[in-house]
Amino acid sequence: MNKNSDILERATFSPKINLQIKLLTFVLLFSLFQVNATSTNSPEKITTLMELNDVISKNEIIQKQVTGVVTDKAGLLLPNVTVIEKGTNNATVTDFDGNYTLEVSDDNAVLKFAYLGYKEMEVSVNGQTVINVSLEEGNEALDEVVITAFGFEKKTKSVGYSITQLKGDEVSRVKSGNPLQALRGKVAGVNISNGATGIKGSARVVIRGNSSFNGANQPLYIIDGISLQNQQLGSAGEWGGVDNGDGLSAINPDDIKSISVLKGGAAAALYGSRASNGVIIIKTKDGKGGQKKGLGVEVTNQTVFTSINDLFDPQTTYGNGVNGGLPTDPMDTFNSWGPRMDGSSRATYDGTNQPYEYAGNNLDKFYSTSVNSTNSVAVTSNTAKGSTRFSASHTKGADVVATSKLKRVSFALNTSQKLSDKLTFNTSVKFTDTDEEASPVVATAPMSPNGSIRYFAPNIDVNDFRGQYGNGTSDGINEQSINANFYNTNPWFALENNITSAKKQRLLAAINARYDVSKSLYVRVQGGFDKATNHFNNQTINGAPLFQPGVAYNPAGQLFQQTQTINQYDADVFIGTDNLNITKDISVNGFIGAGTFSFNNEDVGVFGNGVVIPELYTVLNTQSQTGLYGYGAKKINSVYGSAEFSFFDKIYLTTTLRNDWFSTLSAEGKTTPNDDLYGSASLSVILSDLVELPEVISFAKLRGGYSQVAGGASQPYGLSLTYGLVGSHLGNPLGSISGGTIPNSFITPFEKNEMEFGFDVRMFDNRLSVDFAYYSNQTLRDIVNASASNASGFNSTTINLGEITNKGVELLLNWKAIDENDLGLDLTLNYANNQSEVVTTDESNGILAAGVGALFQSNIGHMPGEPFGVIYGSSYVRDEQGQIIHDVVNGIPLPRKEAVNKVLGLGVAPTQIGLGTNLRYKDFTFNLFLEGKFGGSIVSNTNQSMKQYGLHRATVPAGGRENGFIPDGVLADGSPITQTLTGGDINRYWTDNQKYAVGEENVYKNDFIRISQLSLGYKIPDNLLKNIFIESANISIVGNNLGFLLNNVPNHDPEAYYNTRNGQGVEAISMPIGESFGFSVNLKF
Amino acid sequence: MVSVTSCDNDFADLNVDPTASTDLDIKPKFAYLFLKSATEEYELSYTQILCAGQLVQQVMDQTFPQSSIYTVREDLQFAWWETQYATTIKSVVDIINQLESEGNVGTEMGIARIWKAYIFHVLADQYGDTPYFQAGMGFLTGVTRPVYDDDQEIYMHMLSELEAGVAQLGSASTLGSSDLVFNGDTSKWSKFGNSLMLRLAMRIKNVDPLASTAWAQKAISGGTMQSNDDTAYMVHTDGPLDLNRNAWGTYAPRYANARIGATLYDWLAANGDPRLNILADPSGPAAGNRYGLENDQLMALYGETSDSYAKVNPMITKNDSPWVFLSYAQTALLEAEFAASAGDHSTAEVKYNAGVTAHMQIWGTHYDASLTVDNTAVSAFLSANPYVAAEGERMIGEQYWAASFFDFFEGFSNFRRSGYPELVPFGGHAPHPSTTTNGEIPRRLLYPAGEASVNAVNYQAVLQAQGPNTQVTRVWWDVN
Repeated sequence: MNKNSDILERATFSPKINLQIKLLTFVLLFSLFQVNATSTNSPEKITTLMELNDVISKNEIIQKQVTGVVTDKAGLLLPNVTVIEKGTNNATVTDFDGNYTLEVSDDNAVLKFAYLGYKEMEVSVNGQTVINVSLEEGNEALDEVVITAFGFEKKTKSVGYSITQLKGDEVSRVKSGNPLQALRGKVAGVNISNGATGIKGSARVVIRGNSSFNGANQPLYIIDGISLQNQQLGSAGEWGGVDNGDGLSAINPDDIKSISVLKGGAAAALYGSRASNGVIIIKTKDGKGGQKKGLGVEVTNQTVFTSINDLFDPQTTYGNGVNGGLPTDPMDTFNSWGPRMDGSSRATYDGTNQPYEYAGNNLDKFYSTSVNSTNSVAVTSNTAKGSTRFSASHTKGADVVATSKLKRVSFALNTSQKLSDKLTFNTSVKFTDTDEEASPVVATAPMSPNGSIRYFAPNIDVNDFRGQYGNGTSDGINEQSINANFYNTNPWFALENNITSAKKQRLLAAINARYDVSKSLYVRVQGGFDKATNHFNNQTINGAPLFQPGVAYNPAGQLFQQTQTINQYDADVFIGTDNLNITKDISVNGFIGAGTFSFNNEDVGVFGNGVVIPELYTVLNTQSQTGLYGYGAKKINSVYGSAEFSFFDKIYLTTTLRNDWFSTLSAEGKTTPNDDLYGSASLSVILSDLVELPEVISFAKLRGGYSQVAGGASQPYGLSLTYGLVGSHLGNPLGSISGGTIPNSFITPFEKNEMEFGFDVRMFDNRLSVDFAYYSNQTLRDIVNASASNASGFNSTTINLGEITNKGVELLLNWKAIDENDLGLDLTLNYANNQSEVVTTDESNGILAAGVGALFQSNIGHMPGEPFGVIYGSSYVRDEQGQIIHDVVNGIPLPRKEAVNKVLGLGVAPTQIGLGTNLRYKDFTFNLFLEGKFGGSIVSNTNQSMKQYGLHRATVPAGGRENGFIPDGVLADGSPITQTLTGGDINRYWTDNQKYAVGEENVYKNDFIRISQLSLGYKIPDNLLKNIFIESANISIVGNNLGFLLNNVPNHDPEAYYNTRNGQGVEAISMPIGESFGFSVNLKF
Repeated sequence: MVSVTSCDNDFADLNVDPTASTDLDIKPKFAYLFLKSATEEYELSYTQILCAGQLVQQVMDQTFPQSSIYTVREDLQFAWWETQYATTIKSVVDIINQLESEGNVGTEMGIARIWKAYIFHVLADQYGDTPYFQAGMGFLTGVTRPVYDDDQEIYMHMLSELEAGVAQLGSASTLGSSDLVFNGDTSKWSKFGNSLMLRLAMRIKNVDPLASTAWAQKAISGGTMQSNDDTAYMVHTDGPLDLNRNAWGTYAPRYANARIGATLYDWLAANGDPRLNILADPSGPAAGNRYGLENDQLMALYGETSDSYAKVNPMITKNDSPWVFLSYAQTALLEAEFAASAGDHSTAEVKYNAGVTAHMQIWGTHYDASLTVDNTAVSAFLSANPYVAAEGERMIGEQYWAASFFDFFEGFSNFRRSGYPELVPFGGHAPHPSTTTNGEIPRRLLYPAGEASVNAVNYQAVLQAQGPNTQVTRVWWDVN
C-alpha cells in the first residue's frame, strides 16, 4: 500500500461524511439487537428500551410452571444458573439459593441448565412440576470458560482467537516483587524480562513482538474491569538511574484469581487503542472462590532467601599493576595487569604492605543474603445475597544490597451483592502502601554499589575499603576513595549512604453494576479509578544520579524531593443481550457501549544544591533551591459494539467495531482526523462436532480472525510549539522553545492489523492437547519520534511513518502423562517464535535510536530490513575468510577496528520456550519450570570493563601471560600472525587500541535455559485435620531462578538489562540477579 | 444514545499544555541566548577544557588524558557541537524569525545577526564545514537533516552579516537588562561586531589574504573595542541554578584533577609574568602538569600525580566569576598583528602593550579585586619583556594564547592559524603508543558519531568535501 496516498486520502476525507458513516454503523448494530430481541415476541418495531421491556412482559403467556433447585455435585446451591426452555427464548436464572421457577409452553418441553464452568444439562419436563438438578463441574474443553474483554466470560470453544488463562495459584505459588514475573515463560508468545535492577524493579512484558517504535509496547492491564496505570517510575538511562518499579508491583499475588492473556488483535480489538499490544486481564479473588458457605479464613506466609548467583568469574592469577609490573600509582586498584600473584609482601594503596595474593571473591563479601517475607490473611463470606472477600497483606524484603529495602502493606475488598432479582452490584477496592529505601543505582558507576565491586583486582579486598566507620567513609561522612577516579564510588559508601527513598500509595476502586431489563436485555455500567501518589526523596534526574552529600565527586551534594500524582479513570456503559435465539439454531450475544478513559499526572519537586547541616537530608537544608512542576492530561472517548453469533453451537462468529477519539491528536483547527473506526471478526469452528474424526481426537477446534486497532499519540501536547521559562538571570527571565522534538499538527492515528489462525486439538481422552497459533501483524503509520540531526535544533521529529511487521507461531502442548488417583504427571511445553521486521523508520530510513550501550561502542536501534531493536556498533575489520585483520602498531599486532555501524546482534530474543512439570503423588506436589530464550544477544559493559582492567579470563592466555599467545587473525598483507605476545604486551594488546571497547568484542549471544521456578508442596491430609478447626493446610518449599542448564554469557545473568524500556539488550553495572529459596505455608479455616 | 458529535468536544482545549505558552516576547529569548552562550558545565568540561584546553596545553586533566595523548574519546569531542545547535543556534534562529515577522529591521535584529555570527564562528572553527544556512530550522522549515555548508561560504556570510548587523544598530535597544552582554549599550555592540569582524578577518589571513586585509581594515575603521570596559562578558551569580553560575565554578569540584598545564606554567614563570599567580593557584604546588603522559607514565617517569601540580586558581573559577566572550585584550593583540604584518611596528607595539596590559588587569576589574595587577607591575613586565619587531608575530601569538585562557577554543584556533605558540606534542616525550594522529597535534574536533546515521547523506557529502572525520583533517583556513 502506498502510505503517502493513504495519508492524503485520510486528510481529504471529509470529517462530516466520516462521522455519518460511523453513526450509521452504530445505528445498524443497535437495530440488529432490537430486531432480534423482538423477533420471537412481537413483530412490532420497538424504539426504546422501556417499550421493549413492556412488550416482553405483556406478551408472556402463563402456561405450565416448573420449579426446582440447582446444586453442584457437593450439594452447594448454585445461583445464576440459566434455565432455558430449549428452542425458545423463554428463560430464567436461579436465585442465590439455587431456586428457579419457569413457565413452560407444554409438558414435553426440554429444560436446559447452563452455568459457566459446569457441564450443560438437559432434562425433559414430562409433566413434572419440580425438577431438581445437580450440575457436574465441567472439565471438558467444551465447558471451559475464559474471561474476555470487559470481563465477559466466554466458553473457550466459542473464542476465535488465542487466549491463555492462568489460575491465581500459578501466580502466587512462587512470589516475587512483581506478580507478572510468575508468568515468565508460561504463556507462549509473551516475552517477559525484568531488569537487573533489584527486587523493586519493573518487568517488561511484550506480546507477539514489539509493534511500536515509541510506544511502551507493553500490554493494557485490566484489573476487575478498570485499566491499571503501569507507569514506569524512573529507570536507568545511559547515565544511570534507579528503577522504582511499575504499576503492577502494587498488586498482591495472593489476591489474584486469574490472569487472562488476550494475545491477538481480535481479542483486544474491543479495548481499542490502548490494547494494540494485547491485554492482560487480572481478576481478583472474591468470596465466591471460597468452597464453603459462610465465613472462611485463609492465611498464607511465604519466606524467601535470596543470594547472588555464582556467575561472576574473574581471573584470580594476576594482581594489580600495569604492563606485567607492579602498579606505579598506589591507588590503581582496578588494573589487573600486574605480575602473577605469589603471596609476597607488597606495598599497597594505603602505604602498608600486604601479601600479593588472591583476596577472595569480593562479590560474596559485599552482597548479602536477603530475606523477603509475605504474609497474607483473607476473610471470605458467602451468603444468599452475595459474597465478600477482604484481604490484608504485608511484605517485607531486602535486596542482596542489604540497605535496599522494601515494605508493602496492601488491603483488598471485593464484594458482590444481588440488590434485587434484576440488579447485581460488584465493587473492588484495593489500597497499597509501599515504602522503598535505597534502591540501587544501575548503569553508571557514580553512587552505584554494583560498579567498582566487579573491577577490583584479584588481590584487592573490598573489605579494606569499609574504613574505620564501616560505611566506606574516611571521617564518618565523606567517602573514602577506592582509586584515583572518584566517579567509581566506594561500594561501601554507595551501600551505606544511599539515602534515596520512595513512598508510594495506590488506591484502586472499581464498581460494576448490572441491571437485567428483561430476560434478554441488560444494562451494565462499570467504572473506577486508579490513583497513585508517589513521594521520591533524592531521586535521579534525567537518568543521572543525584549527588550524594559526602561523595567524592561532589562533596557538597544535591538533593531532590518530588511528589507525583497519577490519576486514571475509566467509565463504560453497555446495553446488551445474552443468548438471544434468532432461530432454533442461531443465537446471538452482543452489546453496544460507550466509554471514556482519562489520565493525568502532576509532578511537584524541589532541587536543593549544597547540603548545609551534615547528615540532615531534607531539601530545605541546602544552600539554594529550585522548583520543578510538570502536568499532563489526556483522554480517549469511545463507542463500540460486539456481536457473537452462534450457529448450531458449533460455529461461532464474533464481530466487533469501535471508534476512538484521541485528545493527544486534537487541536483547534486541526484538519486531519483525531479519531479512527476499526473492527475485528473472528471465527471458531468446532470441527469435532461437525465431522467424524478419528476416535483418538476428542475435541478439535479451528479458529481464525482478522483485526484492526488504531492508536493515538502516547503523550499529550505534541502538536504545537511551546515556549517555557527555564529560570532567570540577574532578574531577567530566560525563555526558549520547550523540548527537543519538532511538533507536528498533522499527526493521525496509527494502525495495527493482525491476522491469526490456529487450532486446538485434544486427544486420547483429553490427555494430550495441542494449541497452535500463527499470526502476522503489521503496524502502519506508527507515530514515530524520528531522529533529527542536532543541527536542526531538535533531536527528533514526530511523524506518521513507522512500519513494523511481526510474524510468529505459538505452540502449547499439554500432556497428562499419568493420571491415577495417587499419582499424576502433567507436562507442558510452550514454544513461540516471533520474527519482526522494521519496514520503515522515517523519510530517509535512518536508524531510530532506542537505547545506548553506555560507552558508545554499541547502541540499540531500529534499522529498516532488520528486526526490531538490533544491537549495532563498531566491529573488527575482517578479510574475505573472516579473519580479523591486525595492524602492527609500536611493535605489536592490534586488531583493526571498523567504526561504521554494523548489526551485531538482536536485542530481543526471537524464540522462547517454557517447560513445566507438575508431579503429584498422594499429598505431595512437585512443580518445576524451565524457561529458555534463543537468538538474542546482549551488550555487556561489565565484560568490557573487566577486559579493560585485565580482570577478564579472556585476558589470560591458556598458558598464562608469561607464555603468551598469538593473536587470532592475519596481518594487513594477509600473512598469518606469528608473533607471541607476552607480559606487558598483553596489556597493550587489550587496552592500547581499545580492543576491549570494540562493540563486537562485548556482544554476547545470550541463549539460555533457566531453572526458573521450583516448588515442592505437601497437603496435610484431611483426616489429620479432622478434629481441629483447620479446613486445609499446605506447606511448600519454593525456589526461583535456580541456575542455568545453558548460558554463554560470562560474569552476569544473560538477561541483566539495565532497564525495561524499548532499547533492550544492554547490560551496564547491573544488579546481580539473585537465586531464591524459601518456604510457603497456606492455611484455610 | 450519546451524541457522537460530542465525543471529542473538549479535546482541543485539553491538549493545550497549561504549563507552557505558544508565544514569548523576545526579551527572555535574548536573555536565554546570551546566558546559554556563556557555556554550561557539560559542554565546557567536555569540549572546552578536556579537548581544547588540553590541546593548547593550558589545562590538564589526568582523569581524561585523551586530548593530551591524541587519542579520542568521542563524547568529549562533540559535546559542544550537540549542545550549541540545540540551545543557542535554535534560539537565535527563532529570535531572528520572530523579529522578521514583527518587521524589526533595527537594533534588535542587528544584535541577533551579530550574535549568530559569534556563535557560528566558534563552531566552524572547531569542526570546519558545518550546517549553517539550514541549521536550527527544524520547526520553521521542517529541515531535520541540514546540509553541511562550506566553511569558506560560512565565513564570507558571517562577515557580511556582521557588517549588516552593525549597520542596523540604532542608538538604543529595547532589550534593556535582558541584553545580558551590554545592557542595551548599542555603541558597545557596534565595537563588538567590528572586533568580531576583525577576528574573522585575521582568521582567513593565510587562505585569503586580500579579503582578510579588506575586512580587517573595515573592522578597525568601523571602530573596535577600546578598553576592558568594552569587553563582552557574562556576569554570573552563585545560583540558584547551575545555569546562573560560572561553569568552571560548578566544574571545579567535580574535576579535582584539573591542573594548569606545564607549557603555560613554565612560560609564565620564565617571563616573570604577574599572571602566574592569578591563573595558577599560588597556594598549591609550584609546578604545571606535564603534558602528553598518562598517570602510569607520570608516576613511572617522575613519581608524580595530579596532586603534584598547581590547580587553576579558585579565585578565577568562583561560581560568580564572569565568562568572557571576546575581550579587548584579544582585539588589541589582533590589531597589533595586523599592524605588524603591514610593517607598522610602532602601532604594533602600542597595541601589543595595550593587549598585554588589558589581560593582566581584567582579573582585578572583572574577577576579584585581590587579583589587581597595578600599572607599575605591568610596566615592569613590559620593560623586562619589550616588544621586539623581529619577534613580533611570535610574541603577539603567545600573548594571544595567554589572553585566550578559559576560551581555549579561541586559543586553539589562533594557534592553528598563526602557529604560535610553538606547541610541542607530548611535551617532548615519546609519542603515546595509542596516538591516532601519528603523533601530530590535532587540527580539529570530531563531528558526533550519530550524524553518520541520522544525517547520513549530508555527512557523507561533507567527508567527501572536507576529508575524513578525524582530528588531523584541517579546516578551510588552516593552511599554516
